[in-house]
Amino acid sequence: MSGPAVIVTASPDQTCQAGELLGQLVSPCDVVALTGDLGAGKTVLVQGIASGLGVIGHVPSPTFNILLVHRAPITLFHFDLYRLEQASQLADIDFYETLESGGVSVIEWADRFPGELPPDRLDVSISAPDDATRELRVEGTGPRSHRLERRWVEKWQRSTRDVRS
Amino acid sequence: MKLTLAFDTSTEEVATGLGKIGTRGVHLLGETNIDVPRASLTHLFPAITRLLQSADRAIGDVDAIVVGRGPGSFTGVRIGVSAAKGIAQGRGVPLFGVNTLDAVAERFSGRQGLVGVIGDAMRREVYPALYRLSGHTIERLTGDAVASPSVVAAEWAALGEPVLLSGNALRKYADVFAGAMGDRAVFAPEVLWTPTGESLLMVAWRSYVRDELGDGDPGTLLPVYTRLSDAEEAERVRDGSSGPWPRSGVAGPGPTGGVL
Repeated sequence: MSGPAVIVTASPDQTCQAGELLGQLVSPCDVVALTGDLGAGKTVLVQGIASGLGVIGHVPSPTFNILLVHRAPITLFHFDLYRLEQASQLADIDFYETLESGGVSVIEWADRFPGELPPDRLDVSISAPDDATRELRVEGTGPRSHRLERRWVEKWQRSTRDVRS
Repeated sequence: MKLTLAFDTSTEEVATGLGKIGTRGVHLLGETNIDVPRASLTHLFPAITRLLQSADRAIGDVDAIVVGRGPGSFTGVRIGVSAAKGIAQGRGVPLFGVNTLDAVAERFSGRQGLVGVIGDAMRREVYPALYRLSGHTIERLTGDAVASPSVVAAEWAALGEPVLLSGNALRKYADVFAGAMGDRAVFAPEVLWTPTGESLLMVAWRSYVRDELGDGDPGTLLPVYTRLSDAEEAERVRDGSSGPWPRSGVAGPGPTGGVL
């Protein structure tokens, strides 16, 4: 068993770029589960994913709305579970069916209801060792998300190599 | 002969039908069945309006409402049942519920043998229902339940006879049933996997002739859910009725228009 892969970014711009690469790689019904403290950069990463998917327009935090839907060639379902109090509310917001409805779902505060997440998903946990740096620990939890994990990390490594050379 | 408006939004289809239900059967005046995944709220009322217009009727002419009360998509069932309650309440007409899986089985009326309907319950589960068809009668052999597709496939494989399979969960699990049942799995074409306006009316007619339609009170009709909604759960706690889940995992009363 290999541990999670780590993507290290040096600025919000870079976190957004990492997200953009992921947005170019995801396919319908992929689920990305995000965890990290307030201000860790979850929404910045999702803004990058949205850009990679071809979403046009602003991608705000869905903390208030709980779910924001962005139309693109593949629809982006952007969840924020922060305000939910119990797992049964997930059915009320159509969580399970939305995940299976052919778009890409990105879930902020996914760790609120760990037992309710689909078995095959890409876990991304963001931590902030200092003000600028962000560590994205990336781990697929099934065959499909393992593939996505590998492709994303490779693509990120290639892109940072290109910048350096 | 009562003019009845029927609709179902428990699957990705919005099915609407208008017909007269009498003792001898259904006289269908029109139906529309449209495939609109996750958009039933947008399409239900326009579909009803078009249906009434095409039959040269107004909503005020309708004597009764029939709604598919699931099981199916959680949000879809909510939309259908609440729309039906609103219309029935507003018009002061009775509301009757039919089981959505029954309305799928109804599409095979006239055939012989076993029909198995599996509705998509999401989260790797299905709603299975097994029927015995003979002549023009349809006997439902199993109650409402939630189960893993492989468990259902194994049970139906053990029946020892072919089962004609239908239902929108086949889109995901046809291979599971083919693997477990081999030649005994006979797959219906995909156009027959969902209810239609006509099949909803036919199920209502079967209940009507058996005097099992219920009292028509829109206030007491319940959807068939697999899990209780928040509000219901809170109500159960208030009532002190926090007993164990029904073993089937299905909330809502069985018999109200749910049994053929």
